[in-house]
Amino acid sequence: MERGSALLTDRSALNTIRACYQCAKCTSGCPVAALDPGYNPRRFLRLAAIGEEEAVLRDGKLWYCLACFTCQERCPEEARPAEVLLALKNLACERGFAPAALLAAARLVAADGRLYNIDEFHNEYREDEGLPALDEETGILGKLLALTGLQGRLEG
Amino acid sequence: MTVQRYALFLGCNVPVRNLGYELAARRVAEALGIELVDLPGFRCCGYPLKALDSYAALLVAAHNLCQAEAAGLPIVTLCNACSGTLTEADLELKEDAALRERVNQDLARVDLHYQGTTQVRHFLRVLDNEIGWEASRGRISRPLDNLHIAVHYGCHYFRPTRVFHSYGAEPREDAEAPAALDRLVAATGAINVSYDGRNDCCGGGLLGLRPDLAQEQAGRKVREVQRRGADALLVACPTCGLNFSNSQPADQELTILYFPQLLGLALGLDPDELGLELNQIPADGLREKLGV
Repeated sequence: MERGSALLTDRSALNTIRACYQCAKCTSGCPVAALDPGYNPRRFLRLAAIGEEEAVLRDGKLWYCLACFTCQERCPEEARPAEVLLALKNLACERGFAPAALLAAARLVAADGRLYNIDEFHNEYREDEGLPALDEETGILGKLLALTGLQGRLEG
Repeated sequence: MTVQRYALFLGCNVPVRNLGYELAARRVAEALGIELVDLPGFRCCGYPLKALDSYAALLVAAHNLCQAEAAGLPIVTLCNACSGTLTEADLELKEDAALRERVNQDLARVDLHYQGTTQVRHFLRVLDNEIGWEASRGRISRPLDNLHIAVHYGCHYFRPTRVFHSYGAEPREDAEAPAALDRLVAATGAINVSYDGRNDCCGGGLLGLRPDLAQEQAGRKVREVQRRGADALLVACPTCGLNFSNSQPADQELTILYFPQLLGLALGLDPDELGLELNQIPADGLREKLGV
């Protein structure tokens, strides 16, 4: 049995990587790999499959995945590489490795309900352009997010 | 004409940074007999949370689905990320009873309950499938046959196809050959300009982390479209539109158009009502060519 079994058992979203036979179709069609040859999704999948996930979770380039799903559409084994990378990002976040920029965006959503807060100024601008004003913030997303594991990361 | 009613889900970007897209969508909907209802209560779709915590994103998406359910309306979105996130959330919640139960326990804390009675559609898909291009074609009063238009779909309009196909989003787009925008361009009479890398991502997903890479990716596509002689690049997503607009040298600008703006021009609507002047890149050259 491969060493990555605990990880694969605990995270059902990672199960599909067992099917990966390293054909590298994911990396060869990846737009990020074309921009930065140091980014290699095939390698991330392999490392996770053999139990070396720590190296993936600590690699800041894990977050370069655009979630464009090109790799997933082309994977001949239906290993769902884009969903695997997403699950690995979630795991990296739990472990405290999420990039500050993404956490900052999430804090805005929790605080304002939107990435860009709608204030009186914005609503006046919208009305000047013939668009309806949007409703004011109620704090509901902050209440919902307080029920999730993400809350601790946003405070931390 | 039967009036079709949808709850308009604006998301974060459109109502603040893409007012031209929003204006044009509202005008085109009106012209085609689609009623867009503004609901209070819609918030961020959840997409910005997904990479950090998929469950948190799902819960936020479910909250939005509940708002539409309470109003008894299907949702129409203008943003690919909103469309993808809400569609996937609705699909997961409809298919997975245990997940639905967990989400409803959390939603109960804010007095909401997900039932699974709404539907999510991108506005382009509503035009493509529910209105149909024949209906639009019959109303074209300003054929755009001297315009050269290149199209960019943006990832989450059609990928992952597993989600959109399972959800029953018609017509089923092919992962390597989506066609809704091509059908729109054909309906307007404009000339469709093909180019390399048409179905590739704009790079927008890296704007927060590596804006240099995001702009390099968008810039590559813009240069390829310019090389093929297009008057404008047509997009269906605010993030794609912003990334393409902000990734160009000031002296060689390519006009970026949101799809309702092109359709609105063909429908003979007043260009000033289509928000062209609110786009980041001026559409003056295109207007000159059309004489409007």
